[in-house]
Amino acid sequence: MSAANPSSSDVVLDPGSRLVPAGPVQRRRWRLPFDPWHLALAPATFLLAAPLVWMLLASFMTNEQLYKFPPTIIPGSLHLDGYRYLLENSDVGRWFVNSLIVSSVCVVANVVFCSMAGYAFARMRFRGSNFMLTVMLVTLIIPFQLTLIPTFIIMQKLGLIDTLGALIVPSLVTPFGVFLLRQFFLSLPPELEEAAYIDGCSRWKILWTIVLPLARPALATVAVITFLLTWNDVSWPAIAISSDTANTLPLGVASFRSRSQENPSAIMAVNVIATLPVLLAFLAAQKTFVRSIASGAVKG
Amino acid sequence: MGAIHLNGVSKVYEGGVTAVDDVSLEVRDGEFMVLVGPSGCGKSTLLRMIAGLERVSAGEIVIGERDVTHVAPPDRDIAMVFQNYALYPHKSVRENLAFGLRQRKVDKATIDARVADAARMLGLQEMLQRKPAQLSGGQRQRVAIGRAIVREPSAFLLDEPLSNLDAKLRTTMRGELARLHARLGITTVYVTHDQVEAMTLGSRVAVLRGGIVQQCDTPQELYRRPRNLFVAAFIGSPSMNLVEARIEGGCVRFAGHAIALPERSPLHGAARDVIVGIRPAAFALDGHRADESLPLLQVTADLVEHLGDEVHVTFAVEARAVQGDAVLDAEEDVHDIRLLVEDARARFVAVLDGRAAPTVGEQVGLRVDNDQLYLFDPASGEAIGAPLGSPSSGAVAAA
Repeated sequence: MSAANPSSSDVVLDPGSRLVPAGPVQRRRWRLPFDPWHLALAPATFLLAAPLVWMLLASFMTNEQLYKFPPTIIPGSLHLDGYRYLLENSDVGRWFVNSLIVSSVCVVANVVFCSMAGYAFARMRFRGSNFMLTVMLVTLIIPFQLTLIPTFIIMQKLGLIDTLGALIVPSLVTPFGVFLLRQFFLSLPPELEEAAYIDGCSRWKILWTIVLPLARPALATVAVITFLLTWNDVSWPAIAISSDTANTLPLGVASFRSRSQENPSAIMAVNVIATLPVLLAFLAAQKTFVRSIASGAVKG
Repeated sequence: MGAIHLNGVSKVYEGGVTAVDDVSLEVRDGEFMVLVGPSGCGKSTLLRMIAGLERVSAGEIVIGERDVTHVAPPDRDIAMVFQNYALYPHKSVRENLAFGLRQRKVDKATIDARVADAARMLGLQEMLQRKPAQLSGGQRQRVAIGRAIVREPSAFLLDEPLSNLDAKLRTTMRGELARLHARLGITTVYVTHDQVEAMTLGSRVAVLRGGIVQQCDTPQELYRRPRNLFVAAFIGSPSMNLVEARIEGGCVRFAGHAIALPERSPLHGAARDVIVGIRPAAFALDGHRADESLPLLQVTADLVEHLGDEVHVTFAVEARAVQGDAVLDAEEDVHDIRLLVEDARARFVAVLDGRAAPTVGEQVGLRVDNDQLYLFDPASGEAIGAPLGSPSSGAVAAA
């Protein structure tokens, strides 16, 4: 019966032996050649990317090209005047290295210390662990402005003011990183660690050979967030650093911008130098970063 | 060499919760001991205590000749297979198999040889380079077992290793595990909540309830001579039919039915309340080669389940289902499995010959093998004697 008069749910074999729906009339749905979401995402991407592209283009334009009216969107020629002026009239190389030192040390320290503390809070039971975790989490809601003065006094007593140490020490370990990694470690099945324990691993070895390799997405998240926060930080360096030699890049950019108002090309050039590492860091860790956020969302 | 002795072992958690209560058990060298019981009965805790993953609150654990009560897990010479396999996801199958040996600084040639042996035995040669995520459930299971085998330990500890597999694969793996144990002959402690697994795999089975071993015996003995109501209700599939009854005038009377006790039964002349248990297989459809001399029950079939060679016929008896804690514990999901909650009558299941199945609603006569009646004390739940049909019933009945 169904072969003679197939219903819409029947399937028959076509000559190429592929299963195809059989029915009297095949309705053809008109489909966009792209996902409809792209209609919303493309303009949003353009809005976010346009300033960055404009900044990059403007850094390779002369001041005359930039001051032209109506403004030039696509320059007829590219120049390095802005970069040349920047290199001749600022200590941008030193600022860059300073920022790199501060950010790199903070990233490594956060990955190491936050993973150790997070693991301890997730897996080890010790007297006062819940209280310590609560206290640590409470510090997340204390505004940065409130801790500025105490931090300054501590750094001063340690003799670190106006050195890179003043920028590094307060950011060696962050409650957010500890909490994020603790939550990730809690999501790992404890049997993995028990199996390693029975296999003959110590706590340390379990952490380094089993737990941390599995925590790569979370570690990448902590690394990227720490890098972004330390690289872009202006407020604390502005208070802790007074000499030009210990300036970090954002601080140097701010001072350079204020004294080079007449040279927008150079300002764009220094902005490019300040932004590029952040973009590179994000792109490098993007895959694991997004995977981490996605896995967190799925597991709740 | 690999015998395990548990001497008065207890585990009390913070807050006074007792998970394991004064358990004494001997697992003989090379024996396959199954710990079985409902959820929360303490079987996994007991296994973890043997592994050293849980501290012992009281008592001692001896593996081989050595007291390991306070010895760390790596030094107990045991290997464990976890319910979720606990394979290291970032390591290949080969690295997973070799990991335990590497930690023990075994030389590379020995590691390679043992890994190759285990891979050959378990059919893992083709997948040594794969990561666990690239394996099927059954393959992961084999890797988990292989990881234990390469260690060549004194004892294997297996914590519900088949529960994550589908029903068909579970049956196959059950047979494979039995063959593997027969081949290796290593002392094995196996935890499961599935009594079919326990009965088919175990040389002996320890039935736990509330952290206490109710009975430890061979599967056949557990089935034929359950020591109490809990073991009777827990062991056997379908479960034993239980109902409150009274012995009077040489008959067991319940819900309008009377089953004559054999004259040689020591309770024949007694007059007392009991809980009577009848195995589903003790029924036979009247008229179909059933023994005409056996007592007859007239019942109405509520549900008929065809299983091929046999048929399961469910019928109600006009009495309340036995509500004792022991029975409720054995049927842990008893509140979830009742769909029609307004009907609180006890329901019996009879396993009959599949060639002569009654239909739903049909009134049928069932012959009951009165040599196969299990009687329990309603207050204590302890067995009163043993069925006359069981091999060693004479001794127990006399006792």
